[in-house]
Amino acid sequence: MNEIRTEALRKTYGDVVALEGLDLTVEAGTVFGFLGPNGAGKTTTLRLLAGLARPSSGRAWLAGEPTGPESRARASVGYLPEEPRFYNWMSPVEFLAGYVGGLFALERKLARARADELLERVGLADSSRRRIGGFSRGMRQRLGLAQALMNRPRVLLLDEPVSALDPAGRRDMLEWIGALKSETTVFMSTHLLDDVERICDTIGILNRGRLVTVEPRQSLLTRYAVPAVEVEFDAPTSQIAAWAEAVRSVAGVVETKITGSVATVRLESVGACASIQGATFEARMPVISYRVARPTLEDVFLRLVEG
Amino acid sequence: MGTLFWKEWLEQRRSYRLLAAVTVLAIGGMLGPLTAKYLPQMLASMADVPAGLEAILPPADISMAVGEYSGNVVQFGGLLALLLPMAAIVGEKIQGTAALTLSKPVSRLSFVAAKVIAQGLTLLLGLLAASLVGYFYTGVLFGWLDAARFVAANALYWVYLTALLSLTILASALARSILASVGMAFGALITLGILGSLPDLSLYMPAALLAWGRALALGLPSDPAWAALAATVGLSLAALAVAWQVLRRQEL
Repeated sequence: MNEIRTEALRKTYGDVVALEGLDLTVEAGTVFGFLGPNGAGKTTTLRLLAGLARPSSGRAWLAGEPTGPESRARASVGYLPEEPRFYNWMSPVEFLAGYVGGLFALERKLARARADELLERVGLADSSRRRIGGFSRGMRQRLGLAQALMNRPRVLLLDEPVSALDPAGRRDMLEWIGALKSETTVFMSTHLLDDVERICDTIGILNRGRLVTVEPRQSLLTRYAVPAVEVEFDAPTSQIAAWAEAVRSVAGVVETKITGSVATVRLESVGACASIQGATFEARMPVISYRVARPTLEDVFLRLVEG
Repeated sequence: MGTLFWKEWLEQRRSYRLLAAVTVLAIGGMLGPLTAKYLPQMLASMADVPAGLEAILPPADISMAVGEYSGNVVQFGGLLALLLPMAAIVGEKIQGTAALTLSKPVSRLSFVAAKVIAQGLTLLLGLLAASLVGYFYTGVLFGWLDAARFVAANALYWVYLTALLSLTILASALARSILASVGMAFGALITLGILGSLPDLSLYMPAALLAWGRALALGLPSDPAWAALAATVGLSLAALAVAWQVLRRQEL
């Protein structure tokens, strides 16, 4: 069942095309990573889905309802903007139980219980009665996630949820988002590839307003990632460079790169590994390590986005 | 709508806007009769006042007290109707709180209406404080007014101030900065003032309510300005409707 669907969704600002004919479906229970460089159209897509902007053409549905500024879909959606802003004079518990709970027409006792539960979950229980105005950026981001979950949404839209956080905050936030998989469909935009690789099971890559690809993470890595071998020698750099130059002529080698005492050899296919193994033994230099590099999402991303 | 109003009303109290409005208007209400009563004596006690000025000043009476009271309430209230809601919508758009709120299942009409109702209630309570203080001081210093007529006069002032408030809310929906919002609202206020001075139009303009209110408070004979009352209420509702439509078309 598709929880998110877009058909030829297009958004322009004057002459600038922010989003060009986005056709996308996201199945229920997915943690979908929406990747793209800055200015690719990720935030525009999320704003269109959240009903905060109108498409120039095309349509979108969330939880089976058409999206838009007065859409009923909003009742089934949780939305966390990139930099969530709050009423600084409120306390988190007032904001969640009184305000957000009220906007979703939750019964008062239920709203209070849900607010307490969420504040506990995002580590803000001890600050539940402090003024939000005194909160750090990380605390605001956590409160932002809590408000997006108040209505137990079928679809959770997260715009760069961890980009402003320190490493510990990022780890916690990613753990919480990853754990939501059983409760909701998560649609998360980011430009941080490590995060996507860690928690997303399906990945869409957007570049200059166009969707380049949508695939399950593993199949994307398998299909697009360039295999590579990394060899670390205990030898002078000039010798390593001479070896790399010689290896470049071996069949199946795409390119070589030297970083300190490590030579990275990119291959057309994993099948070419054997030739590199042979060339390493014939190098007559002490080898510290030899490993077939795991393809990374960064490889895929750069290949798809930068051509 | 209930939740949006709850938030707006809580904000009026937490941000001391309610306290400020009640205090300012109460002081305005008190100063009206006090000024009327003691201004001649104050002038007489000043050293460099031209000789004979005191003699040409009309004697202080209840009509002067009500005039001063009305002037203060309308001026102070008008200022509050400009300053209190100037950032109501544009401020939330700039800060990003409007986006967070309107991504939830609430209508943009409720968003605007809650602001108008909460700010209108603030002005109403301020006017209530002004009228209690003004009624008391006028009564003690000049004689007691007909309470029902005085309440009716203040109700007309509130209708007038609510129209200014609605125009400021509209300006706040239209503008892209708080400064622009104030400028637009002030422009609307001046335009209303100019239109109110035109003989053909003055009967239909909000300012006609002020003269009617003053006459009502004093128990003087006057033609009720029903057309101006209807036009002022219509202006408030129209401003609210346009603000809603403007916000509906905006992207956040």
